[in-house]
Amino acid sequence: MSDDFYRAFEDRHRGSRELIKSRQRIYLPFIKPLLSIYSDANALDLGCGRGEWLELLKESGFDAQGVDLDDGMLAACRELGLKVATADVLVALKALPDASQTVVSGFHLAEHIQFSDLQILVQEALRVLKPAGLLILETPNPENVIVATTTFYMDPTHQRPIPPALLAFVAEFHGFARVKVLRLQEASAIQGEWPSLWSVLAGVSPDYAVVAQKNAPSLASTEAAFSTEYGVSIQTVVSNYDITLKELLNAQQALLQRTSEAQHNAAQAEAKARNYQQALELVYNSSSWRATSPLRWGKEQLCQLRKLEPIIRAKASTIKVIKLAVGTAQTFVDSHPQLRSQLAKIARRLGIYKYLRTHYRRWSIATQKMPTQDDAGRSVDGALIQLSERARNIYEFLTLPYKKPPGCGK
Amino acid sequence: MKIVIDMQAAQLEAAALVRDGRTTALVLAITQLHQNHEVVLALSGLLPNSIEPLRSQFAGLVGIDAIRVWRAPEFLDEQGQVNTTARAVAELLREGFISSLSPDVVFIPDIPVEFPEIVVNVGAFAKRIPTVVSLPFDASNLSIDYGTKWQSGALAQIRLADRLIAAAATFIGFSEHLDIATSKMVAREEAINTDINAEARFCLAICETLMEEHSYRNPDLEQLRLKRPKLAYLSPLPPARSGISDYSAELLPELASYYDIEIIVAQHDVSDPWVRENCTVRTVEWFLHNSDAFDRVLYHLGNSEFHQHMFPLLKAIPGVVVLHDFYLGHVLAHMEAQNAPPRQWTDALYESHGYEAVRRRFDPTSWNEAMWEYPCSLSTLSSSLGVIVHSEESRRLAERWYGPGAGCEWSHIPLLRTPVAINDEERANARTVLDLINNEFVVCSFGMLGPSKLNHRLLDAWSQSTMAADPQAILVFVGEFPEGNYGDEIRARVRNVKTTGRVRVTGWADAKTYRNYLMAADLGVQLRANSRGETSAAVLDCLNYGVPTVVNAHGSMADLPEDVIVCVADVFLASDLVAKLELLRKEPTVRRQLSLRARAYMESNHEPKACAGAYALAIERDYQQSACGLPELLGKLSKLLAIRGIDGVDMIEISKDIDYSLSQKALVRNLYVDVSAICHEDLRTGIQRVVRSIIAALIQNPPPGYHIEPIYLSKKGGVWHYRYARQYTQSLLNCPPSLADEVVEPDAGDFLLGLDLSPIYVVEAEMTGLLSRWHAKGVSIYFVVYDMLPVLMPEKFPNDSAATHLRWLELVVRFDGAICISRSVALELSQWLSKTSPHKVDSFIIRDFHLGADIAQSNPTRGLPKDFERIFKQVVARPSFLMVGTMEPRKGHSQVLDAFEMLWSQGTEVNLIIIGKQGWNVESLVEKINNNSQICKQLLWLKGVSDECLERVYGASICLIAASEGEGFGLPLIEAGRHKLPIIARNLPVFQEVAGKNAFYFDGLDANSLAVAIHDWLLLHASGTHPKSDSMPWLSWEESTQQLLSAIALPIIASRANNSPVL
Repeated sequence: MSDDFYRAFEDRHRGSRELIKSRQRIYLPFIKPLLSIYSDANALDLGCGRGEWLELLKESGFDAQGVDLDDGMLAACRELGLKVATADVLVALKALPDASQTVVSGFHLAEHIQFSDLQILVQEALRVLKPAGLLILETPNPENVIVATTTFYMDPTHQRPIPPALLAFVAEFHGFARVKVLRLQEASAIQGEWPSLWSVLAGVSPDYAVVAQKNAPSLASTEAAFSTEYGVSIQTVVSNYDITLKELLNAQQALLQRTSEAQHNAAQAEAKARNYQQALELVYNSSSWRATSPLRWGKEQLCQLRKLEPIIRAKASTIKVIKLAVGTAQTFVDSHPQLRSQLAKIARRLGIYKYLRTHYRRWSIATQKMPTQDDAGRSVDGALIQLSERARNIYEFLTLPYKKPPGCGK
Repeated sequence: MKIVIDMQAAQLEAAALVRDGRTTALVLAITQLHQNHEVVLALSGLLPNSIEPLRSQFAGLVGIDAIRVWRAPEFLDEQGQVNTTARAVAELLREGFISSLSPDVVFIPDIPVEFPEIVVNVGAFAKRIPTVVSLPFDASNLSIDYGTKWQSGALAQIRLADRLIAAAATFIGFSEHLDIATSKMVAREEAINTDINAEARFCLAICETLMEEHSYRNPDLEQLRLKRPKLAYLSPLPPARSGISDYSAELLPELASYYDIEIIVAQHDVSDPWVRENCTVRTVEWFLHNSDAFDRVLYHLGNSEFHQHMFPLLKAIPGVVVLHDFYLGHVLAHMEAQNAPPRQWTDALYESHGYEAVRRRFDPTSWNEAMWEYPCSLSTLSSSLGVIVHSEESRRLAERWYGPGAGCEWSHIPLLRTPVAINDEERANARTVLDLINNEFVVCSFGMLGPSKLNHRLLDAWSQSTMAADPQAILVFVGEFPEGNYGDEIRARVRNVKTTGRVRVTGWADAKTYRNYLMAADLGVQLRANSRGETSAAVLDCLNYGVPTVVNAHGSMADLPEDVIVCVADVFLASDLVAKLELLRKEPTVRRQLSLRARAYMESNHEPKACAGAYALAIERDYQQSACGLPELLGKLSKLLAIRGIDGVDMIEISKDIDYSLSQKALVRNLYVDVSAICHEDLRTGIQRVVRSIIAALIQNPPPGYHIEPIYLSKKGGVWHYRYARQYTQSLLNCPPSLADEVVEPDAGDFLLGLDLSPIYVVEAEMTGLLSRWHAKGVSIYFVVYDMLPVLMPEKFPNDSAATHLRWLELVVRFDGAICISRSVALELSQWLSKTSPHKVDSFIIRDFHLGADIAQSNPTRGLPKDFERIFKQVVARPSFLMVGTMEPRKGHSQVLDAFEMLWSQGTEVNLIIIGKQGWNVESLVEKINNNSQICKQLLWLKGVSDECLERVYGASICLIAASEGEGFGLPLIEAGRHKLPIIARNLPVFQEVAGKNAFYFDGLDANSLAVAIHDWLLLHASGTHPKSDSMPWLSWEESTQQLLSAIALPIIASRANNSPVL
């Protein structure tokens, strides 16, 4: 068991070195321009640990030196042939001459030291940096709620979380010419997925860095890096969440409205159909109707003989009534098979059965929608992302109002 | 003849819904008979389980892209109820799909009317495709139930067929229900019932006769004159200064007798009097909104800015294209430079010629060449309904650039020339005006001067001929001097009368002067080099005026009949040209005959009326024959969907189905290369180095007829799919990432090569059936297999990686083939396959190739450790044996260390140098090394060294030990060979394969056997008889890629051979 645990731990450990290095590449656009300014580019990493950053600096062409109190960690650096010294960071920093470094950095150092020491550190860094030199301080980002409430305290040696604005202000206050906050290491959000509450709590970049530059006649070479935006802020996450929530609410509102309209219509239709049925039943059941039946028959024959017009007119008006009723009544009729057959009977008697039937059918077909997909809940936008360029053009054409297609022969 | 066979009945058989398999047997028999025909099998995607079985049954009989699948929304629910809307969509989709295949005849064998999942409809589309339907043998029971709506619907469709095949007995029962003309009924003879081959012949014969009845016949031009369809004519017109505008001005009056023409122009005014008098002139904007008003659209495309408005227009409103220039690079580059619309040129380069062309466009040293070199015309041509060219040369160029058959459906219409009547008096007048004496021998060369007109070669020949010294002979260049060196050179030579004789250059000649020279000339000489498919108007002018003319056989001039022109070779000797000039000077009879024949030829071929007639025929034919499945389908569908109120996700699904079903009709095929892992993040692993190198080699040198398309698996939007890795590929080629990563929809006949190893992505994607869908559609899928180690020795790998690898392998062998990085891996794979899925052994292709080893382009790292000099001293102090590679259980470090301990204890003076970082699960070994008494003495461990350091150690050692217990390939052996470092290797098949006799091999897993081997080797070494590695063979990445391609390409060639050349 313990062997497995050790192995798993080792694996993660080994992987994390590469991972950390790959993450730190984000600083290369800041520091690389300095190489073209200074031929001897010294860099100092405070609290260098296992030396990933030192390695990266070295690969990039810097003469990098690391300082750390943990000798065990430094062994790894020495093995890799990295320049390191066992020393207290402030002591080491204070020992350096003015304007001797191009880069001073501290990764996950600021949260380990007293705030007063942090101020001294920033002050000293400014002193030892050459013009246009860079101070990089990376630390957990308390804008991330999970970081601020939980993960920050996983390390008992952590002092207090430092908000990005505070750390940026410290650098500004002590006289750095240009200060930039980089939010880092956020999990890449899956596009098309709705922002969840979890993403609000944990989606903000869990780390951030302040990159501060010492004044120089021209800071143009690092302009590009400084003008790029990095990471996810709490504002972004929250506003994404709010927008989605609002959309959802709107959609639900619309749905509710339509449902209540539909219910209203159905109720009306049901009432109408019932009235209609009652009226007809009344007529049929009335004894006078039955009694006058022969009479009516005779009259009908007469009508047919004399003038057909009134019958036709009567039939037409009945059709009109039914036409109006049938649309709204259909749902009701469908769910009452007895009523349906009764209506059919009546219609046959009235001689409009055929007409009614075809219209009933046509109407059913016209309202028969396509079978909804399994993933009916999917948004149109999500599905659109998955269309090829041509399929997208086809979709766009199909959603246009109907138009004769161009360019096809007769 | 192209026969499309509707396979739904066969699909029911394959899905075991129908018992006997007769239909499949019939279609099999037809495909074996089809010598003169192209047979395309149309499969319904609504019967998905039947597709793969049918594909394998027909493999080898028809090309992979002759099996086409269409797909539509499901219209049956679980209870078997038909959704009428979805069914109507499916019917339209199938018809549009069949239309898009442009068949000559459709055959629906054994129409299975009793199955509701079958979709059949006949002739719903405008272009009537002749259709033959045969009824199943047991069709007599059809009469049992006509009640269901579906059956009566299907029967209604049967009535629309042009021929109905059934047994005579069936017809009797049938005629009661079907009002079908007896002329359409064909009774199947009884004898056929038992002989499937006879039936196949019978059915084919009926298809043939029907097709002949319906074969395309040219329309009657007189009828057309009466009808005069409305034609939109897009071309620059005078005063625009372009040859095409003059050409159109000449063509229009004649073409107007067949069409009611409106002119669409992007210029402010039109000066041609005939056009102003007779045609309505419209703007492009107006045309965009009123294209419906026209029956025909004709575009005149050329390589100048006068045509730029036509490119976007052609995409929106397809029409017939007159391609005046085969090369369109300049106008497209001009548009891109003006950003109107953006990326026009880049997109065209990418679509027509692939990534290498895009790379060159963004390389500042080659973009200008790219503009000249690439035609960029493919996307334009594929959105046209038909193409008209003026020379055979354009068709030859199309074949050369876009593959066999690319231009074979194009119409060739000669440039038009109005015949001229010239009498001797006019000739004499012309000479007087031009200041030429009557009996002077006048040789003319027409057109602006320039290097490609070979004016200097004509001057060479002229000065070598007797005419240079002849005061009665004169050479006239009728045209303008170019700027720059060439102009100066010609000018200087012309001035030198002594050597060149009498030569005149007119400078820019107006129409009248030009005509006078044509009348005055005794002889014309028109030479060309580097032509780009265009027709030489000057040669035609010479012929039209009856000027006897000498040309070189270059480009379109080579197509002129030999009795109307005198021809020297394309690349000719000056002496040849001199000989022809002298001959024609001496022989007035030859000149007279040439002159007469030239004029007769022009009159019969280039006469405007005849050309306009040819235009009308070509336009009518193209409009009749072009597959307009998609536009018509979209028109009909949007009407249907509007009525039935379909939108949103359903509409998207329908769009997807259309995109899936209707082929893109591309001339080139795609070789998709999976780069899923590397384009996500380049971790610089060994495999990723392979991927990068092979992608680069493929793009630089793609197999002919294929586009290389790196693609990656994506889950954007929630469902796995492939996207074009355009951004990644462009960055790999140092281009700005201008192309978007669109979703990939492959076509039948395309290939997918799983080059990058990303087992987790692939397995997950296939869980949604992605790769199976590609395969069912007709995409051949191959994977590169790097090793079988996690499966063969799982104990030496982390648990999950072995399991993942196994699942991945099981997936790989479900498709077409695997290309392994060595023969040994191929062998291991085929052994594994015969054990796990013996039924796949025959059909699954396993091949191998070797990796490249030129690391020149792979950026070697630099830097030496601080204490390197001390280390180096130790390395050279004793004979040093080297181990290179990450320390992992299977690499054999333990055995080597034990062997050396034995040697050391015996007092052997040797070093063991281990180079490589600590890997997974080797903690006890590390401890053993660190606690070894010889550490830092005879045992050295260098971790994380640079290539530079490695290089130095290689040079100072005497032998490499390759002790790994399993490898996919043996790059360290090749590396050692390149440093001429001798090798002791474990006797693994893969090492034998890579190093052959260039290494010393050892067997056994115990320390002793290795110690003995090293001891033996040392003895051999002392006498200089150990195996040397100096002649170790290795490949460049280019060679490696060629091996990989030939491993996949073999089946491509086979499938192509089965296809008609018309793609």
